[in-house]
Amino acid sequence: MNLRGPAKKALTEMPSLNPDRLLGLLFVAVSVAVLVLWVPNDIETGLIEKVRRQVRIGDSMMPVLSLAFVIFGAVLCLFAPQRDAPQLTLAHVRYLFALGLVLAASLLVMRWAGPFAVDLFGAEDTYRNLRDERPWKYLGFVLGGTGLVAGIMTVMEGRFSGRTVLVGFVASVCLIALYDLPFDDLLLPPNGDV
Amino acid sequence: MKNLFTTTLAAAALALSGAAAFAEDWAPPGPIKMLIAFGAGGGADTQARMIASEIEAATGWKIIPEQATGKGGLNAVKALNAEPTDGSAIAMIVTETLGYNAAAAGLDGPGSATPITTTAGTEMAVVALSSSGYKTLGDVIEAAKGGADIRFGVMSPALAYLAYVIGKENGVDFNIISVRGGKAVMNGLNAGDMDIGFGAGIQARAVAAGDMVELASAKSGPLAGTPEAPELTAYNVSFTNDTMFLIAGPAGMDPAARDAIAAAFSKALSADGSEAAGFITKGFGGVKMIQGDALTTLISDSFTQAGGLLEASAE
Repeated sequence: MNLRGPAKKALTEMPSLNPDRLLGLLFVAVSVAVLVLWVPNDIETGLIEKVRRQVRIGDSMMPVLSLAFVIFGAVLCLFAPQRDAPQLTLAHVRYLFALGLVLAASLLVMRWAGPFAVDLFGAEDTYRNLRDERPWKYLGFVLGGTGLVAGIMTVMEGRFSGRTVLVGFVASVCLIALYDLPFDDLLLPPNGDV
Repeated sequence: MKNLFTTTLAAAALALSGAAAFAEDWAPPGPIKMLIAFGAGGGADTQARMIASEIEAATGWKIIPEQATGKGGLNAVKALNAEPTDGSAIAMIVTETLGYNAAAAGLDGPGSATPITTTAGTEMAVVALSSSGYKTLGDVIEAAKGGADIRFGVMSPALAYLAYVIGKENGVDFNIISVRGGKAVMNGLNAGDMDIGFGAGIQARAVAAGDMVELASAKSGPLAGTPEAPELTAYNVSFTNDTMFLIAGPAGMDPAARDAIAAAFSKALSADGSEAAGFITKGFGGVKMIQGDALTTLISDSFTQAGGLLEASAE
């Protein structure tokens, strides 16, 4: 990604790009969203409630207090950032973007490789019904897990090699040996959620 | 106890006779997900896993247990209703989930899941340490009227309201302490942090050993361990707690799947040498299976009574 002109200037010179300010902004936004959307819609009782003639703390109290502390910290970061904090550069953004991309792609492969294979190879059943059957139950975990480990190593090292794929594959197989083979009732990801 | 076990099994067998042939033709399309609304390692969780294991051995089905705790079983019901209705997902909850807990949450309890079978009842009693000197709930009420601060341990919202109504109807104000699980109530009593508390059956050994006393039956009918203990109606309370462990499917579940799963539970728990049945007898007073129309009526009544309890305890 090559930025030029005003965009590059914005990324490298604007004071608002101080990482503390960005973090502050991010956490204020997320906290306010949680406070406004999640708390009233998913928590049944308010800050306090009156039950059986007694006033007691409601289920919303702890999340609201926690969010208040997060917002307080985020506002401090926003308005009083460290002056000598390292500046956010294009390299940082690219690194974070690549890492996010690897995570998202690997999880998508982990979730959908099994169902896709079932569709493709004509097993006359649904993946849900085969989620505890070999080899179907391993497909997503092995492909997604290998991709995840290899992808993260590639991003960290800045170059791709076959060794990263081998490490990812071995790591996935080891996890299968550790968690799947000894336990009948344990499902590997993503099979518990399909 | 043996009579109760035999009677309930016979009733379940009778209720299922019409559906048996139909049920035998049904097999799950894949593994059955069993959501367990109780913490891992507790009595209810152990019960569910033991039954699942015996059904697997008897039928060749695959059952995969999974914890889905919280909100008195309503989280499990919510998760259950996100699953297919073809019999590939069931949940172990309690009748109180579709009764009081659903009513308190403003849900349509009987309509929010498909009841399949109960597995065990509870011996719900108000208990105290023998060393407390209390013989009946009346003694406790008298002590409270005399100015004693009575700490009443409860392990569910419905029981908290029941404790409140007991106090309200008798002109006393209990200090109600809500804890997680019957074991925590027993611990609270033994540690002296509570004066009285509800026990759902966990108190049986302590009562038999003479360490605890059942002051009143909080279920409909006499207690197995202390048949002479008065019922709550003796204290002007018309509500009871007849919680039972319940296996349910998603709302709108395929009736063939429901009947086959109910039959599989009956078969597993009535098999000679069933370890699950032995565990239930020790921990919960015996296998008690109610299915079909009788179960539908039980859930419906439980929901209706919950509305009354909520109203009675409203301030």
